[in-house]
Amino acid sequence: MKNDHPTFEQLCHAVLEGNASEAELKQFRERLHSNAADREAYYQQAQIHALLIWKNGRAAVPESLVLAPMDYSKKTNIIPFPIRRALLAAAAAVALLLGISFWLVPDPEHKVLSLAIEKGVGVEILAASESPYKVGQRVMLERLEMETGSLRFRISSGAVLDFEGPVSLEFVNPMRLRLERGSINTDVGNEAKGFVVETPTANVLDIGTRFGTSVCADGSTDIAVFEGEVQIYRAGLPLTQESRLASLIEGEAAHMSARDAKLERVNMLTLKGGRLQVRGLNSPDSPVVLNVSDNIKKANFYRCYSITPEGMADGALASLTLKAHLQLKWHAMPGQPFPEELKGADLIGTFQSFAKRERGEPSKNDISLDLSRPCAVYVLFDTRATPPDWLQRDFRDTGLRLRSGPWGKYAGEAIDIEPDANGELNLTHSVWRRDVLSPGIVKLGPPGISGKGYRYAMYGVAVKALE
Amino acid sequence: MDENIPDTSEPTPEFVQRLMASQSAMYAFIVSLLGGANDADDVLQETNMKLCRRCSLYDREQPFLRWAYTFARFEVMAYRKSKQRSRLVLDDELLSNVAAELEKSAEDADSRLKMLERCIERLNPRQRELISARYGRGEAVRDIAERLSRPENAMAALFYRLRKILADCVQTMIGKEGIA
Repeated sequence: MKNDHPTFEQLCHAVLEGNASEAELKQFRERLHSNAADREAYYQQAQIHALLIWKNGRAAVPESLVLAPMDYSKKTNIIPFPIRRALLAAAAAVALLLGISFWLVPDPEHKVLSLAIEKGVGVEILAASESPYKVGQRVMLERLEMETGSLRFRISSGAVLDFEGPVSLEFVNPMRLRLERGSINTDVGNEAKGFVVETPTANVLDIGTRFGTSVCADGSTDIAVFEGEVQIYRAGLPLTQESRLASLIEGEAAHMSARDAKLERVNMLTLKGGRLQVRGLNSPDSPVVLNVSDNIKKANFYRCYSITPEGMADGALASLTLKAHLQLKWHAMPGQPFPEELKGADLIGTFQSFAKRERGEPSKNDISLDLSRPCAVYVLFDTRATPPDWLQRDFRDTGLRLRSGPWGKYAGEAIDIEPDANGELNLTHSVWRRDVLSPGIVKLGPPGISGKGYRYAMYGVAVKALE
Repeated sequence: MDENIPDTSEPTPEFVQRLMASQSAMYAFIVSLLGGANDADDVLQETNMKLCRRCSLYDREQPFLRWAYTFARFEVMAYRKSKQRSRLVLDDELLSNVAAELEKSAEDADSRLKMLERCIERLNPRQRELISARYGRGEAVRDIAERLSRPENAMAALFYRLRKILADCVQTMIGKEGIA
C-alpha cells in the first residue's frame, strides 16, 4: 500500500494497523499538526478502532462483567484452575498478562479485600453439574478440562456453550475456541456471529446459529447444525474461499476425517438431552441400534439421522430439521397419556427430504437399521397418507396415536390442517410395530405410494428391545 | 503520583466497579495516544496497577474516568520513554493535544462501547461481516482484500469509512440520549 502521496485515510489506516513506514509516520504527523479536521478524524478513527478491538477480543473485562464476590480461600478444593495458576504464577506473571480483569476476593474473617489479576476469556457459568464451577460464577479461562460432569456458560462475546465431559478446550479469544477433545454445543445468538471453533482437522465458522462439534479420539471432527448455518474450513489455514470445504445448514452433519482431511456426510449422530455426543468417547450406547443409514448417494448431501438412546417421551425431539424455525417434537394425543409402550424407546430422528421425489420419480430411498438384538421397531406414520405396501405387509397398526408438532404454518406438510385449541399445527401419526426376533439389518422403505407425490410428514422411527 | 508515596489502602468494591466500567474507555484512550494497539494492553495493565495503588487519592465525587485518564497519560509517557522515542506515532505536542481533546469527552466515554454495539447492528450484513472478519476473527486487512479480490488500498479506505460511519453513529446516539 505504498505510494508517494497517500491520502489521510491511507495514512491513518496504516498507522492504526501498525504498518506505517517512517516516511508515512512523518507525513501523518505533519497532517495532524496542520489540519484540525484531520486531528478530529484521527480521534474518531483511533477510538472506534480501539473499541472494536476491545469489543471483539477483550470485551470479557469491562461492562458485562459484574464482580461476583467469592471466597476462594475457604474452598481450595474448588478453586478454578486459572485462578489457582494465577496465584502460583504470582506477581512475575502479572506483568505478562494481556487480558486484565480484577476479581474481588473478600475474606469474611479479615474483612480485607485483595485483588488477583487474571488473563483469559471471561465466562459466566449458567448451569453446572459435577463441575468445579458454580452457577452465576464468573471466571477468566484460558483452558478448560473436565473428565466428568457438565457445564453451560456464556462467553463475553455472547456465545453460549454447553458440554458434558470429557472435554478439553482452549479459549483463544472471546470469538474463537479450540476444541481438542470431546463435544460442545455452541449457540452464538445474534451477538457472536463469526464465532469460530477450531479442531485438529477443521475450523467451523458460525454465521448465526446453534451447532455441535465433536472431536473423536483420533482427532477427526463431527459437526452437526441444529439451527442456522455454519461454514467449514480446513484446519490450520486462514478462513478464505480456498480453504472453505462446505456450508452446512440445520439438520445437516459432516465428518472431517483425521487421516485424509476429507469431509463426508454423517449418517447418524447421537444426542443426549439435546446435546451432541462424541462417538466412542461419551456417546451412550444404544441397547439395540448400532447404526442408521440410507441409500441416498448425492454430492454435497449432508442430511443426518439422529438417535436419542431411550429418549422417546412426551416432548422428545422428532427431527433435527426445523420447520419454519420450529422444533418438531413428539407429543401424546390431547387429553391422553403418552403411550407406555413407547416410553424409553430409542428415538431416531428422520428428515423430510427423504420422501422427496427425484426428477419426477417417487422416492426409492430406504433406511437401514442395524439392530443388535431382538427388538420392536415402531414407525410413526402420518395418518393422512396411505400406508405404503412395505408398512402394511411387515408392520401392524397398534392403534396407538401420537402427534408431531408444532409445524410452521407455511410448512408444506401441514398446509391443509387446522390449528388446535392452542393455535398450533400438529399432525397425527399412527404407530406401527414390527417385532424383529434376531439381530441384523431391517430396511424401511419410502413413505409414499409408488407413482404418487408425497406431501405429508416423513415418518418417525423408534426402537425398543424386546423383553 | 510519586512512586515513593506509601499507600496501603485497598480498593473498595465501588472503586473496582468504576475501574471495571472504565476499562474500554481507558483502552481507547491509550490506543489513541500510542497511535495503535501495539502494547496498549501492557500500558493499560500498568495504569490499572497504579490506579489501585493510589485508590485512596480518588475523590469519589469526581468523575472517575477523567482521574484515570491522568494516570493513563502518565503511563503512556513512561512507555514512550522506555521506547527511547523509536517509531513513536505522535510527538509530544500532538500527544498533548490528543489527550486534552479526549479528556474533554471523558464523561461519555464509558458509554461508547454500548453505543458502538448498537451501531454495529445498524450496519448492513456485508459491512458487519467485514467488521467481524477484521476485528472478530482477527483477519488482516490484506488477507480480507485478497479473499474478496479487492485492492488493499480500496479495502483500507473501506475500513476507514466503516469506522467513520460507526463513529458518527455513536456520536449521534450519545447526543440523542443526552449522555454527553
